[in-house]
Amino acid sequence: MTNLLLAYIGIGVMIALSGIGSVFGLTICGNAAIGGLKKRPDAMGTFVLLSALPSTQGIYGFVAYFMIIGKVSATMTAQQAAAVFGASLAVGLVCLLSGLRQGQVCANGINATAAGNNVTAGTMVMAAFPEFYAILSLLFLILVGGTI
Amino acid sequence: MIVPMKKYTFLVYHRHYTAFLQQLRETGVLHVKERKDVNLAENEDLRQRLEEGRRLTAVIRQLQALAPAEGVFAPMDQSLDGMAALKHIEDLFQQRSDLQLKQQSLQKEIDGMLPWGNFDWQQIRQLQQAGCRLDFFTCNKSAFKSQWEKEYRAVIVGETSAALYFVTFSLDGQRPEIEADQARLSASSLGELQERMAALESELKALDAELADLSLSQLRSLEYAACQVNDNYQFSKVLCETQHAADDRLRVLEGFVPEDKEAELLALMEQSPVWYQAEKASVEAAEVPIKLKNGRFARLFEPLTKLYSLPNYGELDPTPAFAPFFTLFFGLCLGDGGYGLVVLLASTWAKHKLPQLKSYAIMGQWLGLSTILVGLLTGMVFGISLDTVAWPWLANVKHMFVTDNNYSIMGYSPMMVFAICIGFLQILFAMGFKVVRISTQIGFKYALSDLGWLVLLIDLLVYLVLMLAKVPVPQIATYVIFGLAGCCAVLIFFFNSPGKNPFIQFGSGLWGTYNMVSGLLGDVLSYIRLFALGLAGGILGSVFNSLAFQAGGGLPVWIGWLPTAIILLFGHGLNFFLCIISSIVHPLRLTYVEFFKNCGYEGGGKEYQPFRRTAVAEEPAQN
Repeated sequence: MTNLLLAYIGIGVMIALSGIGSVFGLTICGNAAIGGLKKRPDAMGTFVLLSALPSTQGIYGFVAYFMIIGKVSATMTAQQAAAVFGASLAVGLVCLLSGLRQGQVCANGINATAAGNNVTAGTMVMAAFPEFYAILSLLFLILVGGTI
Repeated sequence: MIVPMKKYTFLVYHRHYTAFLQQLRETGVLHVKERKDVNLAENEDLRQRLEEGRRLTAVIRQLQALAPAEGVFAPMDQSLDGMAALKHIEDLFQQRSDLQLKQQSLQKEIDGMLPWGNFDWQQIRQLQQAGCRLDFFTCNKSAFKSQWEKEYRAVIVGETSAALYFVTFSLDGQRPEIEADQARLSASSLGELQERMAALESELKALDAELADLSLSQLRSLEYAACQVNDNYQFSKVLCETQHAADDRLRVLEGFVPEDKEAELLALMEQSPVWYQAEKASVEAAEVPIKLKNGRFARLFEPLTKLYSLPNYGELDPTPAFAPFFTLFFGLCLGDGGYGLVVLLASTWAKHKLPQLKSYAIMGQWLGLSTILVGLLTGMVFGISLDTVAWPWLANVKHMFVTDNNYSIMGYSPMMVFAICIGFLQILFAMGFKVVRISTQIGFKYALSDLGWLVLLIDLLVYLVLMLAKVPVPQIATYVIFGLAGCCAVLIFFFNSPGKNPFIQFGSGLWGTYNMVSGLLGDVLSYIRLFALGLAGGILGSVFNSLAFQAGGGLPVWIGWLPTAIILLFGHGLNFFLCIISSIVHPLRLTYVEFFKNCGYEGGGKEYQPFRRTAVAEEPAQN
């Protein structure tokens, strides 16, 4: 019972933190987009495109749930529960910070676009760098899941 | 595909130059080359024309908002003095703005006087002359003291839910020391203020009517004037881009013409006393404008390429390469056959009813079709998983839907494996595109290293698939696979920078290997979002279905259908809206980051914008 509890706490924390990371990131971008719309209402499409990028971390948390839930059962051992907890916590923490920071990158891109600079493509590339580590954490979870 | 361009250089005698430019404008095919030594932003004439254009556009927009819904616009009058009409209309809008400000200020005064009622200030002054001073106060109801009625002869004249308005009478001419706020009143009576307001409103109404009339009578003419101003701006711009030579007697103009439009220019040249030189545009030149020409399907996705950046002249157009993938990715992300049907129907409607959005509507039809196919493949329609429902007519096909219940690939969801595989396939395709691009741009020997990576990855993939499928591989095949891998390694480590020292190439190969391993892993895993988004949308849809039927389940049918319908409409509407945004943004992100990065796309091309007359719209744009 304790093992199952530990595993589910880990999964819950993962979903919560990754979702919170996306929420913060999306909010930062949304605020920048509203400010940008005042200067350039015609660039709404670009702002929506850049604003939606930090939603990925919440998606990774969601995918990670599907990757790991198959390993959770009432008869799981303490080692398995610890692995699930550890991997889930890693994904949650990384996605939290990755979403937050990616949102800041995208918000800067939105501000620069609103100022008349053509930086959409560059912003998308730069925003992919913090996301890479969220992907790595997901990969870590998949690999850990393969060992238990 | 990028349309090949021809570079033209014209040498024209200065007296013939204006006429030549006017004829050139009529052909509308030459993209004038921009001079690096000319700063157009500092040109006063251009700035003035731009400002005129901006003012005209602003006034046109304001007039369109005021035009009566059922009004008929007068035909265009080309003799109208556009700038004089603009000045007159701007003055009217300024008057309107001033009147609106006065109206707001007057309304504040009226609101301040309303609680006191309509009294005559003359009578107040007469009372004061007779030695009776009146003061106007306001306070909260709870703060009013009844002894003020005796002490200060306070008389309550008005009240609201929280405040009291009262007047005090002093025979000693002194303002009473009272704990209440002294009201600031207008010097005019309420009646006078209301009369002034009525007059203002009448004036505003008359002004609005005059502007509405002007909108119907002059809007088309103003649009024509705006086109004229834009044409003048473009003409002045071309004059700025023109070089002067031979003691200012000759004019030199350079520009680019698409090869498919060259005939129109040559027809003009035959009649003009102009010397010119034509040559193929150089692929190394950065200033060659870009005109894309693709098939019917790929052409729909050109706006997505433009949103990122047009290719430069020496590159390959990536639009036909990513268009099919984008269509598939959209379908995977939206993932619901029912939503796909909605997209298809809405796009079909838009194609016929909104002709200005026709190309987007056709793209929407393709995206909708793709989503329907993915939905049928995975058995997801409006949040209903068809592989789990007990419908008799599905009994024979339920096992064919690609779902976790029916299939499992090494313990993983089949759609997740499919998403990663299609992502890997797109990356391989991008690498192949890069090999072709480099070979075309600078030569095949410079593409050997990238070719080595491509073949190595395919080689390893084949080996991995054979191992996982437990296919018995003959020894000779193993030697071929590893031999090929060895050859690829040689290309990667010793042919990545032709002409350089082998040690430098080896080091460069090591660095490239690190980038490839770390980059490829991240890029491939990034495609997992295609599975996640489709899954998330499907799950949300099914949750709304459960909620809807639970809400109406306990009620009699004749009333239970109502909450069910409301929840279904609201839930699926919200889910559809969120999923559409994700389904556009994430495939676009995969295209711009993973695909463009792996195919080495540079971009930076300038759009082909020929020097021509501005076309006037057939019908004025509606509100």
